[in-house]
Amino acid sequence: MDGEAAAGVDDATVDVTDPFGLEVAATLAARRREALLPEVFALRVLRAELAETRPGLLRERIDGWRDAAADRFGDRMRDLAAALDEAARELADAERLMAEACERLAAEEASARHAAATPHDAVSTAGAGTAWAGTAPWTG
Amino acid sequence: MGGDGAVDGLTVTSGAATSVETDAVRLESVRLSAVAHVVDEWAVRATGVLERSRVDPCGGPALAPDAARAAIALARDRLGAVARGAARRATDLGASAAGYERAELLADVGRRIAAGIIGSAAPAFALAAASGASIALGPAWLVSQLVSAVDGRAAVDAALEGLVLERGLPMLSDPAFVSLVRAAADGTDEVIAGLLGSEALFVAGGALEAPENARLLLAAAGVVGLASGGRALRETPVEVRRVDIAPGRDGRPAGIAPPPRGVGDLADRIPSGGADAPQVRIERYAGPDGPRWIVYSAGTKDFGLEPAAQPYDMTSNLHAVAGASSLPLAVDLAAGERAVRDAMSQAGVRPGDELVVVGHSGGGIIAANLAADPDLHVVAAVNLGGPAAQVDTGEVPMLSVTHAEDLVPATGGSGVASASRIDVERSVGAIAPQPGSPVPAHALREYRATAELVDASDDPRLADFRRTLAGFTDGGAAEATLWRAMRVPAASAAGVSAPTGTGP
Repeated sequence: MDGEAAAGVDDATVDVTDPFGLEVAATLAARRREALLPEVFALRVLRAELAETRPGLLRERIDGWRDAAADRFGDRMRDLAAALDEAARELADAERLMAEACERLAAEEASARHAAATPHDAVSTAGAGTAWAGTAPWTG
Repeated sequence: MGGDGAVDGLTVTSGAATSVETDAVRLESVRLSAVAHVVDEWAVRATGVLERSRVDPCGGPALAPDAARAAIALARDRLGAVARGAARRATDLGASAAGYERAELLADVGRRIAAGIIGSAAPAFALAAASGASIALGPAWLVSQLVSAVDGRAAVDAALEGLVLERGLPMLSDPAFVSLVRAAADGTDEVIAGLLGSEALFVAGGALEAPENARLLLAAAGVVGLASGGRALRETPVEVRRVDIAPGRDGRPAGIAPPPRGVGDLADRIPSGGADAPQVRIERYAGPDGPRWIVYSAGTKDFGLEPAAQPYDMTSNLHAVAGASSLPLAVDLAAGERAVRDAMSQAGVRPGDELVVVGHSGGGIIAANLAADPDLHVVAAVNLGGPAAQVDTGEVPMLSVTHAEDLVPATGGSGVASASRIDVERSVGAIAPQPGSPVPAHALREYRATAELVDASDDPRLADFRRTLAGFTDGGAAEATLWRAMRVPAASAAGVSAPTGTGP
């Protein structure tokens, strides 16, 4: 399963002419979105906390310490700081991808609910007054 | 801090000296340990998001997109690695702080023991090799003489006396012994304690470094002088006269000199300062904004305890070293430095004129002191074998050249931090001492050879220094003058350079 398919409604399993199936699909998308949103917020909080704390967190120099070991310590701190920056970027990427997934789920929910509320082939101005020839959606 | 480099037998260091405030290191260790916990907690939170985003509440394969979960997993791993790294560095820092404290304790104990041994053994050195020991032990030997002058004490450490007798003068050029002398110079107070057999001074003296020790020594000399009527280590007025220069052998007119091509030429032009010879050379160059000057100062010529005619003596050296002290004890300006300043004044140097100052041995510390004088506009200084490590020249670049086997620079102690100093050390190897030259590694001849290596070095710091010199003379010729300084008795000192107190 790829990322795009995850947290989305598999269109292949939904019969767009089946109002019940569309309702189920909309509900699934809503539940998944409800489950995913707190994680997006969790990532956002974590990333904001990291961004706010990051400056000064890993000091490359210690006042009053000057020798070769201090220089090596500074090098290690720079390495750790770079790793922390990478982690912050990866968290931001994850947050963006999950937020996009939430938006897709919201769109799918809205689309399914809209489709479910619209009778399939039910209204035709051309056939007004004639016998309804469509298939009842709940009959499958 | 500046880097180190070894090129063509030269070890070049620059920047401030090593310094460690162990409290700051220990505090950072604690702080970094807390940082490790914070970052680890972030990693745990990222793990939580990752676990929850794997489970689709609606029975699907996963809640979050694969790419998002992969990014969270990477972030979690990195955060975990940062947490572990920070924790490890915190532990390292704590261990380093403890190690520094142990090293400081051991170094301090070793320094005090070494200084005490030298102090108690000084009479032995004096018996074995008086002239060599007077150079080697500097303040320690002089203290022994002072103490002897007061109470006639002649304590001899039999073991060390035997060592000197067995190993002889070459021991004075042993780099390990040079290190011992450097430690002793930082601990003259302990040397005094060793001589007097006082444990109290060992306990009290830990905070004093070489300049302060020199001041204490001079203060002690003053007390001894008052008590005994002696003149040991007491400054006198100095008289400075211009000396005629003979025409150059290459046909150049007398007193005209080409610009120095580098540090080697500067070393070559330092006067020998021997008997009846000039000790100061001054070159005048035409600069765009007025005259520029290069001032050369000879080294120590008289190692006697009591000042005679030669102002380049141990009395002058000790006053020059003491000049860097912050102790509230008035100390006269060193005779050698007064001689140079007087010669500069007579040569026409005016306040604000740009200067380069160069000196060997005792002249080296004079050059350093001039460079540190904010009233002079010194552009660069060169010290060859002088005990100048304790002089902070501020932003004035000073090239300080020493030999590993030369104990004279070591008599100034281990020094202070100075960001603009470039230290060059070279080992000249074992050179057999000769009568009258107990420490051959200190000879100007050897420093001239090292100066040539400095010119040949491609070390960028030395290259920068050479460019400063080249820019200073701008390729122009100089008018050179030579100056001879003499001590004069205080009673006949009218109109000559009298000692001036430099106490704070």
